[in-house]
Amino acid sequence: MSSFIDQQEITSPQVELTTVETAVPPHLKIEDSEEESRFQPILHHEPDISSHLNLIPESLSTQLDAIKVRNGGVEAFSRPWLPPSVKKLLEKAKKARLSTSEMIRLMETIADRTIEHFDLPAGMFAAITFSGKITEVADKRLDLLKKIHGRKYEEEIFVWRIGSETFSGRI
Amino acid sequence: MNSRRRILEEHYIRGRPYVKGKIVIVNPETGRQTTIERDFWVDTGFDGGFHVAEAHLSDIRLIGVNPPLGTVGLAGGDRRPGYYCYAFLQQIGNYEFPAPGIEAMLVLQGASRHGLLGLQILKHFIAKFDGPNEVLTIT
Repeated sequence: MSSFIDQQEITSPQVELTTVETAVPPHLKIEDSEEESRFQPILHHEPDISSHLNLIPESLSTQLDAIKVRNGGVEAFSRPWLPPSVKKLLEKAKKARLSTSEMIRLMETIADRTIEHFDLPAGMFAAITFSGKITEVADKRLDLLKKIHGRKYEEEIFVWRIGSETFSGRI
Repeated sequence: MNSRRRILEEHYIRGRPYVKGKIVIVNPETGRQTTIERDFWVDTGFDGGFHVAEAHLSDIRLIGVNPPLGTVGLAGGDRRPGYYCYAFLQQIGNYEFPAPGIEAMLVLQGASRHGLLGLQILKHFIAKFDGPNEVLTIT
């Protein structure tokens, strides 16, 4: 599962912080390895980070609050991080039709990130939003389509076979 | 003693096994439905139920069903985006199935005039492909 600490970029361009280490002002930096490890697991525990904020120095907690607000709240940690290339394609899709290769690349990238983030087993079938949320999973293709049939979703979804490049087609 | 009912016996067209089929898509919330009637090429290399042109998508959306996108594997390993929908086979040839029909996956992709009928449907029947006489029999 991807760690917030490991992320090199954050989708919101206003945020400068990329790692916990850079977020801690020098005079507050913990040298002791035992105390330092307190900070690492906290940010690994998704999605409910708010209960741990009282253990973190005030300056860092304020900065994390700012990151949460800019990324849509605590819920943002329950989604996989999507690279800027995906965001660019999503923005382009709002204004113009994507090419075949762009659409496939978009679905593939989001699916790969989502599957890794939620550690989904190969062979299952999933319905995924273009922001990386899982809306439904099933063991069989037809069962998935039956589950999502006729439902209205706030975001557009696509279907994906975990561990495969295609949902169906030639044998 | 063979108690299976003969559902269809059709001669090949242009050397290929074709069947006339009628598919229905139903909106489970409103009960509205739309049908797709086409000639389907019987394709044992296709793992789905039916494959029709993407142009039918608008008819399905009109009844309030919004099929999701997905990737479709084509011959030669090519991949294309396509739409997927839950549908029923209502009729094949002159044989009408008891309501609601046989459930299967409908793929909407490309622009071919004929559809494909794949293994997800064929697995319900015994299909005999008589090559020398160019006759397809489904029981």
